[in-house]
Amino acid sequence: MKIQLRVKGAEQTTAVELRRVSGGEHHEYQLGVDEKNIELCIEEDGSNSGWIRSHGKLSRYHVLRRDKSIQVWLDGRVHTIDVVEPGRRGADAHAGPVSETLLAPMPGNVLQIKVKPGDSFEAHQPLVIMESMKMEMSLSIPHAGRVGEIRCEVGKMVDMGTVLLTVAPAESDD
Amino acid sequence: MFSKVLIANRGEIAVRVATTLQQMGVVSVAVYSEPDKSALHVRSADEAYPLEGRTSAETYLRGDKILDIAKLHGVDAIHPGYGFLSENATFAQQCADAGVTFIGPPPSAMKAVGNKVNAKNTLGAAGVPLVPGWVGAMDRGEKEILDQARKVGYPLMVKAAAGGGGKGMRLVTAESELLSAIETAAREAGSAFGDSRVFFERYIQHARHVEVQVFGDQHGQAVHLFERECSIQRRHQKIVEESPSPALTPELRRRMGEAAVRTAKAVGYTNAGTVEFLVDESGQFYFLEVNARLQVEHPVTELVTGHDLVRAQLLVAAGERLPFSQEDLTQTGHAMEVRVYAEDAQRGFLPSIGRIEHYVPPVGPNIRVDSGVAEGSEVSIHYDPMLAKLVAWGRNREESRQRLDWALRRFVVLGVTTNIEFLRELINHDEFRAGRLYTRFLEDHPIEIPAITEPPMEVWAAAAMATRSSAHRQSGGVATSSMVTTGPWQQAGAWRAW
Repeated sequence: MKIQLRVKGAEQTTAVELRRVSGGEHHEYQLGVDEKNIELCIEEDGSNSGWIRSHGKLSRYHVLRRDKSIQVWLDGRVHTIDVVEPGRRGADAHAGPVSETLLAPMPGNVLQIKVKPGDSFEAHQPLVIMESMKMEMSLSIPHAGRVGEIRCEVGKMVDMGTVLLTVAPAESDD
Repeated sequence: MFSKVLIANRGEIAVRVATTLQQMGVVSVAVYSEPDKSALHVRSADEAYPLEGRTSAETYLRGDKILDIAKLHGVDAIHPGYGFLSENATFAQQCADAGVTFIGPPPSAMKAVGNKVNAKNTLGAAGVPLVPGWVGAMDRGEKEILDQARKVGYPLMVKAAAGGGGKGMRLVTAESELLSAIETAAREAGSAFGDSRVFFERYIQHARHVEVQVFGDQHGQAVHLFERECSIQRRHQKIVEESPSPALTPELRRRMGEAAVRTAKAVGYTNAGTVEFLVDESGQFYFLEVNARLQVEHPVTELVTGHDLVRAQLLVAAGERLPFSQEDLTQTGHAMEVRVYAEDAQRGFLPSIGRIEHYVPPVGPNIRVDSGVAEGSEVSIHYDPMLAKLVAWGRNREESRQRLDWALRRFVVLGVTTNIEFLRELINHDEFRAGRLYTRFLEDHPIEIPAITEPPMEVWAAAAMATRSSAHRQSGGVATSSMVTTGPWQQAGAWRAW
């Protein structure tokens, strides 16, 4: 079966097909990647690891699948590969008009909120100071803008991904 | 010798201490918080008792709970590891009062060195070279602070008096930044150490961080076990440590070793400690601070000296003489250590939390891995995300560096993101290979991890295997993890920190 895979963050999707070679040794495979086809031997030594031999070159691999994301460890590097669902060219395809937000990068405590709704801010200006794992983090946005709503409170714990504040929609000036 | 020792710590250091205890025939006792109930350090000990609570403040920092367990279960001594209660003089005193030996320096020596301001005063008097600075109180008014800072000169470093591990530290390059830097450093110090006092001293440009391992016993003997260079740091946290330092001549090594022993004697130090120095480009060295504990990077010293420092700690704490004299000690070959963290180097080094699904540390000649986790361990937000220390020994620096690179290439961790690829790029950097190290190395030489947009064919093959085997597993009724790997910073229109 052909599956659509994509390196995390990359634009293009790659069609991958892995078939057992019929009549061959148990671990002989034919790998199709887009238009290319190569023969490989894959010997699993667990359900999530093994050896791949391609023209005499040996590679050790470990894989971990979590939902639509696969981590592949191969020869010392970790590759994150997304499984793209049929009919959906990419996870970002659903992105409609999105209002910008500043998210908590980690769970932690809000120490200071340096702006008020309606304030203009510069690129990289500290907006919220958080503390996590005893380190202070100054959170900013890499471009200028205006604060929409403040959605956090000083002294409160927030989870990773909590919206701390929103950015007011840009006024069209062109 | 003790018959039962409690390890008041977690992670790799608790595992490492338990190993030596078992080798010496001493029963090892672990304590653990709720999130750590199945942690590796619990399984590595001979006995384990819970500390109710989740956070460090509720558990590993609760000297009272730990002492209660020690008394209830007939413990003779407590090894504090590093961090947590290791440099807490009050806890050391409470142990003494309860008749339990604290494996570390006496409370008086901890107090003398624990506050950096006091340490500078004592050691200046003992003739140990100090960085020029100002240790006056910060409530003397802005004018005096600014005047004193001008005398010290910019750039300068604001530091927490009770500090360590880079917390409460700020580099100030211009006068306009000074007061706000003092304010943030004081706040960070207050929350990390419960003591918000700060001071400042001149920032030494292109300085190396070179520290000397010292050891004292209760019979008046004090020796040094040579240096470790720990210049490679990120936000003042050490990342790579090695011994010997590529910068030290035998003459400088001898002088620094003597200064370190003088420091230990000036404060009546016993047990293991580290005297940290800055070394400037001309080979001048300045006292930085004393770490009154076993250091994270102690394996580097163990590999070049051949001595088990935890074993020596136990002997000294039990009242025996140091198992080595200065003349016995030699520094053989080269050892290099890296700290493997669950963090994402490509996303601002954010800690990566989750369950470790695959964990295969490298095995080979002259490779040492001190792990705090195993397959199935959870990396939580509650504690430091260090997974392991990886150390390689070689006959010379290049041999140990190559061996370390080999080991990093074979270290498999899946489930959380690690800094392994970052460490490989770092130790293969030309300037690193040349040994031209200094504390702001990473600011000047940012490490790029080359992005791979077209992975080798084998990656596609392995990914395809994963889609097959997971279908297999699901049909077999084995639950797959529901962890979502997309973090908030990957959402459209959202920005992550710094």
